[in-house]
Amino acid sequence: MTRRAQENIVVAVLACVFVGYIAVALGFGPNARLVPLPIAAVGLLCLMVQIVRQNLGGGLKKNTVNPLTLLTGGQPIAESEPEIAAAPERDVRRELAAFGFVGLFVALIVALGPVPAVFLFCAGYLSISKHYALWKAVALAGAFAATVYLLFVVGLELQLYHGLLEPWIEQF
Amino acid sequence: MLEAIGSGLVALLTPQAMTFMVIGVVYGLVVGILPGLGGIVALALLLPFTYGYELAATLALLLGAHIATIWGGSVTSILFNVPGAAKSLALVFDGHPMTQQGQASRALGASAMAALLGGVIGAVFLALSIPIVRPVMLALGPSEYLMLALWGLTIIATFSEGSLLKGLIATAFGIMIAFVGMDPITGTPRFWFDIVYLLDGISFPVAMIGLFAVAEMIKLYVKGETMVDRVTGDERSSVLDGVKDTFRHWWLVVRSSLLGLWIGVLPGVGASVGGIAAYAQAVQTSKTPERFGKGAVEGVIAPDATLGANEGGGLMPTLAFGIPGGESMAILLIAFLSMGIVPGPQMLTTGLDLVFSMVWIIVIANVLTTLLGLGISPYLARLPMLNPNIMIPLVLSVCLFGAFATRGLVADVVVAALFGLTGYYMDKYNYSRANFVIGMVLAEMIERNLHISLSLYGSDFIFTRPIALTMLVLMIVTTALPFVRTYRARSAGREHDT
Repeated sequence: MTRRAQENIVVAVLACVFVGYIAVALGFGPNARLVPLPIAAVGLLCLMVQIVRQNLGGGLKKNTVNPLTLLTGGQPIAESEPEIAAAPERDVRRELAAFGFVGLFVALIVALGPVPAVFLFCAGYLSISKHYALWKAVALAGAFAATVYLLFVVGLELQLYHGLLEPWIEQF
Repeated sequence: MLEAIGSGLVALLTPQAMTFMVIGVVYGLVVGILPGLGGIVALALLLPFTYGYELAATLALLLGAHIATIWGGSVTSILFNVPGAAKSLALVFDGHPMTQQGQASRALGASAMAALLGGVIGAVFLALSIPIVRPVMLALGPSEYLMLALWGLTIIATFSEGSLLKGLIATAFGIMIAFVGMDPITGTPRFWFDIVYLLDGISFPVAMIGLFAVAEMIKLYVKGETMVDRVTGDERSSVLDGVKDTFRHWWLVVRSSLLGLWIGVLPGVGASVGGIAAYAQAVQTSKTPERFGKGAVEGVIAPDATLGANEGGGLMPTLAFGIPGGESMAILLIAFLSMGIVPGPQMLTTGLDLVFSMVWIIVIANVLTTLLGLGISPYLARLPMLNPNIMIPLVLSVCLFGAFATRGLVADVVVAALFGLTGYYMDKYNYSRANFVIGMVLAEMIERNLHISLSLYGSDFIFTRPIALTMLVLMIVTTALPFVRTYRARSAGREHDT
């Protein structure tokens, strides 16, 4: 997918958010929508101009101004925002993997609570990335989870959340 | 005022405050040296720790960490040719060639001393500006504050890195997100979609952790395996050489510091622009500009002095008007608000000792950073590599645990992850995250002052308040200026072609 197509998708998604926001804001009283409505409308207007500009010839490059030249009073220069032909396949795979491990970590926190989740995630990541042998990864993750526990639970006196699976685990 | 200067210092002389300052500086140095993290991530990760401690101690932790990350970022640029943060980019031009020539210790020494001198000049400026700014602030009313916030937003968008339009879109998006939850003026629940969690609004610290820290970890993973790796060569210089260089080029330090102050005061003009601008002025004013880019020590001194002074300059509008100078100031502002520190006229009247505590923190943290920096520089100069495989799981753990710790809500973890995703894509497609944050921070100020202005002065308040009207005119001029300049430049280019 070309950079232009990617940028168009981003603008389309944002436009949907802004339109939805305006639709919801219209249901509020005049005082409650006094600021949100015009701000969203201005944002939507900017998005419309943006989509037109970025689809004109060389639009992605013409779109930018150099803050340094503005600051020093010089002539603004179009910044080189390279029109990248396509995101490499490797990047897409790594993006999906990154979102996957963040999602998995969140799921672990929701299911087991933050401290066991930190231990499992760190041990898993360090061993799967092959940075450490399994026993070293487990030892480091254990030490780190204990530090985090001391810092947040003992130091900040944080009330811990024990996870959705707590009642099920307690049965055993 | 003298009393406030004294009590500001006394508040810092507690064991907790001094310990927090040292922790902050050491933490800031470590995070700053790790490429890809930088000051914003360091501050975002500290936000959960802003509750339950002495005010001065928490400020010492936050500001100490923030100041230390600046020099930490410079270390990465000098040693590894990878800017620790965008603002340290200018240090790469001459800092790394010095490392290649076996003068890493000299470059690190010059960098640390220039940052210290710049930081002290910035702190002195902050202290001196208070008696000047105070009467101005007290003369302003809600309509002027409204215009000031709107003007700040447009300037921020104008100077944002990348596209002006994208900057404006990001700002609008940030403001919109800030309106989720109960409207404090009318009591109307807004954009809550029958989810009780959303009635309290999006927690700013949680959003910051996601937007910057989680997003940076995703970015780091996508970027690839090795972050920095280098072959260490013979070291033929000492840290003391760099310190002497800084004093030899004292006039450059003063000029660069003043530039840093000016850039810090301007809302939205990030320190990244400051570093490059300082480098540019060092080249332009040098008698031997041909040496730059090949390992000239002035190319290290100028950006670091600017970055050091930038903090004092940036704190002034943040504390006086509640308008942050950049993204790091926006995060500091969020921390201030969560600690019960409300920027505005009262900061420079009843809260004066707190302001002077910050001035002292800037000075002491700069001294500590420099002492520690000079001490560890000879060892840093031999640092061979840094690996992200350890960093990603550990930092991500602190991010998500920190998000949970902010309010003790597990839903905040989910929100931090969602903001992480948003932050990653905003960064990838050049929608300024700084603008988003500043929009979020200023939203409440805009709404509150608009409602007060309408009820006090009526719907045509803008025409009955001359200062507000002048600000509106200035806002329109400064927003239109880049477009006019671009149009003129293109017209001139076309005429030149024909």
